[in-house]
Amino acid sequence: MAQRKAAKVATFTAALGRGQATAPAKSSTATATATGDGFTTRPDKVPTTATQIRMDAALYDSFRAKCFARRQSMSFVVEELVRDWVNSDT
Amino acid sequence: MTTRTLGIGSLKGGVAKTTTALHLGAALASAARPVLVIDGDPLRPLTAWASAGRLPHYLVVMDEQRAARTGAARDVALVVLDLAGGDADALTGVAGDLDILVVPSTPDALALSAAQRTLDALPTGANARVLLTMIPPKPSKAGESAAQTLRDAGLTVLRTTVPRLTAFADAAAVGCLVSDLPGPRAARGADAYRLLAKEVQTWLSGKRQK
Repeated sequence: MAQRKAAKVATFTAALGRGQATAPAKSSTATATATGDGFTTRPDKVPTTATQIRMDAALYDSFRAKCFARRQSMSFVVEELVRDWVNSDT
Repeated sequence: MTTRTLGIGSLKGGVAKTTTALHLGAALASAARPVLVIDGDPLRPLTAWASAGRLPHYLVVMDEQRAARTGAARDVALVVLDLAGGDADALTGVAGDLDILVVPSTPDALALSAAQRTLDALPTGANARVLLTMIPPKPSKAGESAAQTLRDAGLTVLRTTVPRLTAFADAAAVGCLVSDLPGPRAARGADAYRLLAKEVQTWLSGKRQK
């Protein structure tokens, strides 16, 4: 219980840019595959939710620029990309 | 870039936390100064609100998991965190990381009591003020009466209040800001958050940077 609370608070703290999340991401960077659209994921698993997506920090800026150019919120563009991706055969 | 952090939280639900997070974030944002609004509610109401794609592009909405992973906070000057109602663990745990915390409350007795309990639960040093929301129109004196009750209890109350308007529910249903809706009532809602943004900016500028 206390561990869960600590992990939750650590995630919020990291989200605020005040620290680092303690819980490691489930997907492995070592086995990640570039998909060409700004995301990487495990090659053996098609992501079904946005929480399984890992965005490379270096690609974040270009992704943000794309959102700004399209005048759409980032969350909307992410959901749109995830939908297209899940519906595709890749 | 130094990122300022503004939390919206209460131990009570249904006091317009999400509406406040989104509209206050929007009123504080501009194309040159994007604001990150973090959806910290497991039910993801903000994410649902933003999913229609009708919010301004300079208002970035994402949940805390994604925000933590992407480090999006480093790219913005201001982060607004919307916490789930009743999530005492998250509220007390993260309060120390916030520059300021807005505690929304409706003007009824139960909500006012919850606002007091929320402020009592915060760690020492937390910089929190109560925002009165869903204030009924005059001649009702519910707003003034609630503010006086809170001040008598020793709480700090924001001068700006948010009126009770169906336009906010309409905006949520459409997935836009209340300022995008037509009509004088929607304009009143937008004006309230513009005023609140000015008051919050003054409050933030008076807070020492972390």
